[in-house]
Amino acid sequence: MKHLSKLLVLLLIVSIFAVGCGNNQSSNGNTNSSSNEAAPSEDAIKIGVLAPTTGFMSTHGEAIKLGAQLAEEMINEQGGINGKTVKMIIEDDKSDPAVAAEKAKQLINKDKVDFLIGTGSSAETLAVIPVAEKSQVPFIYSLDGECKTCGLEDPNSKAKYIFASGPTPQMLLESFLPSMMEKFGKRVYFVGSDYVFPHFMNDIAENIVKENGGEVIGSEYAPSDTTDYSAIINRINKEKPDVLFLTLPGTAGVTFVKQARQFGIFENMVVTGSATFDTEAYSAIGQISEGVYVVNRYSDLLDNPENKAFVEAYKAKYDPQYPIGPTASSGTYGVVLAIKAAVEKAGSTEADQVVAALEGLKLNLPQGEVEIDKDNHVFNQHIYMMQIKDNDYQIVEDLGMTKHPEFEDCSVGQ
Amino acid sequence: MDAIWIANLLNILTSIAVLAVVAVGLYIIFGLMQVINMAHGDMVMLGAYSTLVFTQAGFNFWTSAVLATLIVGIIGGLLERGVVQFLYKSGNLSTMLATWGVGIALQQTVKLIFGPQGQFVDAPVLKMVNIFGVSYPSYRLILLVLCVLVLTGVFIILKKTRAGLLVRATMDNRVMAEAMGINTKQVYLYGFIGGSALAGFAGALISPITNISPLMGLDYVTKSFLVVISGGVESMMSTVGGSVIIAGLQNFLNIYIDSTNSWMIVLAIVIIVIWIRPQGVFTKK
Repeated sequence: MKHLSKLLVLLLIVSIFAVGCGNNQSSNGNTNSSSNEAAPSEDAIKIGVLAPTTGFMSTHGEAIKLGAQLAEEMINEQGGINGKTVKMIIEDDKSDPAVAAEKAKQLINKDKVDFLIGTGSSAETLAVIPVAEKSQVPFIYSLDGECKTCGLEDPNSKAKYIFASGPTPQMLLESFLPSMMEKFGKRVYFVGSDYVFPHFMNDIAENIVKENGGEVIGSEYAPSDTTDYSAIINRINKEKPDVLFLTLPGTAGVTFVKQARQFGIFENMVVTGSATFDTEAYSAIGQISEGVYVVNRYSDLLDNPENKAFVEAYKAKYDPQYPIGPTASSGTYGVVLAIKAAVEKAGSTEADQVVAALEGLKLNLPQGEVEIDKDNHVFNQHIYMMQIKDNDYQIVEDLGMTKHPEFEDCSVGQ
Repeated sequence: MDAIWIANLLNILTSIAVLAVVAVGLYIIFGLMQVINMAHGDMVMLGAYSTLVFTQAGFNFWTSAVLATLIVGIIGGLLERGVVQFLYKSGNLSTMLATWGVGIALQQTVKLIFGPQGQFVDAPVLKMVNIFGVSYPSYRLILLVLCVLVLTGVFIILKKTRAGLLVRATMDNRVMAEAMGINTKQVYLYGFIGGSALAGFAGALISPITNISPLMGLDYVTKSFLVVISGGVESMMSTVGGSVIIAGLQNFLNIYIDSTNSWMIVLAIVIIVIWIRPQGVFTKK
């Protein structure tokens, strides 16, 4: 028996060690630098694409890559930009900020790209911003997230070369939440994963709810590797809110939604959220998310000529299994079109002239009308209330043009 | 009693039952051969992925779950024959490291085939049923009943059948058992198959209520080890008792506080328990 007790102590040490390891999500993958056939001609306009095709942002990275390749093909078929061909140099940043900064330097110094686009998580974007700004290469990041376009030294002035194509949380939620409360009721319950982004997102959302006369019934956070949400689900069912707002990115959202569906949450209240029901999670979450409300800048069902052309080309080239919903593919494609419009307006690829052309630029993208704000470099854009129904993102309401308030919550510090 | 309390109680019972099935599997392997099988959680993961593959191939859920259990049992047998059997003489540390390595290899293989993102299996029944005045997901109730049935079955096999007698004899004293003519090598193999099959069965059953991902086993291997440590390995019932401590306590605390804090409290309690009773709470000595 003495022998056994020793073993048990060894076991304890092992299990505690295993707990530590459990949170350490490994990111594997290999470099995936594509398309470098022959020396590019002197004339080509080169766009460096930072696409996290491996690591935890891999589904977004894949979508960024597809959007960039489609834009390259379509623009070159139609004669390029000002007669020059466009060349995408796609690099995998492995969802890792350090790799992203390194790849950005490589794209700028070795490949001599004219522009940088892409990046998945906020951490990657923040790592690339100082590199691009110091090298004076315009960088338009693809995804939504908190405002990151302010100066490195002064958070109340704009960075010269950094642009944000996606909406900020303020833009997404400011008219969406009041509209949801008007439709379904003012009692809102919040659930998020327990790390920085969901706290940030839900804090903003809770403030908007309170400012608009709503009531925050509950607000809770669970570790992102939680396997059983039944205690939380029970509390929600007991409180019977009108609206349930989730910020559970990635696998956490899948687990929660599966369990909540079985507990009948979806019959008792309206479910919505941010970063939980993106297309990137659709393979796992789609079929059980029927009826969920989403807010975003794009749906493949938007009725405009730019979107028709995009959807047609996308389906012809990739034959996608799931709807081309929000956000990365159409967003990246839109960023390339914005660069094209700015270069044509400036008549040059010289950085300062293109930046001047981008500021205040108005254009029609698949997502609808967009204006690049000349004061804070965020794309002013339409936001849509959508509902997942019949296997697609059905548009419920166009919430109109939104604009990020100056440099609110802007942070580029490390 | 308040309706919410009945629902909470059912949640606690379900989580105890699932953990007990996984932990009893570990108990058989650990108690029998003193092998710390670090790949045990990955057997849960493989059970869930096998269910996914079979349901996608068009089998109904219950058939898939049975097939998944069998397949994971076979994988467990291969693990014993291919790796563990060569290491019995080299001690616990080498079997622990070897099974840990196998576990990592399994996780990465699954990640390569299915990708890192979560996967999804439909629950065979989606209705809610009314029980003691609360509506509760019928799948969870079925899950609870099945786990209890399987645990009872394992208990009867261990206590009342000749196969169980051989296993218990080998657990108690391997040298003596061998002297009595028991082929302990074979008992080890069947023990590993049975223990892994239990983990696979649990994985199949939880696949409709949780997220299926390559790393999902880590949570279960950790918790089952804590179960075995706090409950002790004297008999199957001490493992079930350990499950009541770990899963019951955590889910009970979850009702009042968030899960990070409740897990911290559970770990603190386990450490105190080991301090006072290093041989486990549910042991006679």
